Amino acid sequence: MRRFVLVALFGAALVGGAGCTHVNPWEREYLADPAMQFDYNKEEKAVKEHFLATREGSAGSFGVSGGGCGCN
Amino acid sequence: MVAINRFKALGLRALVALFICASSLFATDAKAENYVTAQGYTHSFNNGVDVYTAVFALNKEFSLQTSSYIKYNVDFINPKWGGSEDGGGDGDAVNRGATHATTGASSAVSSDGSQGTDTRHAVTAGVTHNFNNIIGAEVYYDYSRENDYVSHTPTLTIKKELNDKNTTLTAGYSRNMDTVHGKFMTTAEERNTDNFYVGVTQLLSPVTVAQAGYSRSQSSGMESEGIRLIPIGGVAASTCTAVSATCLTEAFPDKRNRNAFLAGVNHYILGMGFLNKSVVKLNLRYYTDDWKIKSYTGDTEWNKYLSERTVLRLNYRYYTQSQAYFQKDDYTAADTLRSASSQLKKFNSHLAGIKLTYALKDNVPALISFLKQGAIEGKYEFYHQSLGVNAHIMMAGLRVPF
Repeated sequence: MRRFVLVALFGAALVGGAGCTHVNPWEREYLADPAMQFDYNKEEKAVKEHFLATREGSAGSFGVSGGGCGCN
Repeated sequence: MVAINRFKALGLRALVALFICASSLFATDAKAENYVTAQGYTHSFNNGVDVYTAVFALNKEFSLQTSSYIKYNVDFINPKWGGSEDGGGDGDAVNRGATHATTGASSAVSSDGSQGTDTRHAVTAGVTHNFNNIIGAEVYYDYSRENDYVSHTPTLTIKKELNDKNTTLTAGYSRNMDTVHGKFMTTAEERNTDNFYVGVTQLLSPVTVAQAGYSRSQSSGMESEGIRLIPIGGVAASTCTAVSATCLTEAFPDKRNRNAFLAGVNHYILGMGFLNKSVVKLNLRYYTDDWKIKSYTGDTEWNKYLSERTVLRLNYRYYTQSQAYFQKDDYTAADTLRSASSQLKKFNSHLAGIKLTYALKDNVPALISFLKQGAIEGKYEFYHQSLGVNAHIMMAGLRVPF
């Protein structure tokens, strides 16, 4: 529970950061670059995660696909 | 020969299905998110296991609000071209081979040291829809099948963009419904896992984006794979080829709760000499479960535009984990929980790689001019585990937007 609270606080800090910084749509040229995406090549990512899941004990609980940069 | 014919038949069916899907989907207007991709992988382990993987995927936008996705993945584990698969048989819903989707290549070496062979087929299909720019939803269904393992996984993800799309909140749920029938199991058994995920992605500047998330999995049922035997009372492991009083199957707790915490940041570098026009990524993950396994992962990537067409990627990942509370080197008949799985031992691992992506642009013959928007990619990675396992990973792929 303590760790969950810590992550919740970290997430809240990220969201709260929006109050300090606002990126306008016309400022997102670099954010829209494919290399800036968290899961641009999701096929490669899936193969990699499957490979690691077959070798390591903390597989799973990776979460589901999500996120984005708000570029579109 | 039987395996080759089966491969050809399956490959042909997959290509026909993909063509039919592509033909129907290409009929609508093209958008930036539309692409097809084909990728091939080899994973070669130092214990003699080889895995060959082929991936075909198609993403198609129907409108600005709706898109669809379909993917077919096939893994050939230690293929014996011209031979037959262990325990294989087209008619069996769940056959009893020596390999396992979840344990994959490692378990292709069974407890008696023999090499198993298997084929895994996996299909993913899904739809993404944005409801009036208020909330986005993704629905996916995954199906995976191999000799001793069948898995169904529906996934639902909800996204909400806030603050002029500076912030994206994500919540997801998926359920794994698995049927396990390992080599040393007398009957097939079920395992069900509920996965929950919440996350936030936040723009921090015009060149920096960060992400944080928490995921939890609650699993119950047959947690082991039924593919390993454990020598009891000091007998040699090499003598364990069948279940007996001195060679027992693995016995895991029938429940497992996992928690993972993730944080990541991507930064686009401008200026700074050679680093100009490159992207650096850093991801951290902390994991803990009620089998007392804790792990830490650090994953970093550097993407550099060498030219307008060529992107170089260097990546490195470090991973370390503790062992499960019931993991021991020697077991007695009195032990109710037993494991021979290296995945539950204490170890660390390194993964390092290099990847090149080259945009084709006008460098294609007129006959295949539809590829001019595409890119080819190739990578090499090396994986090392402190338990002594090494793997060479190679990949080649083609991605074509349309």
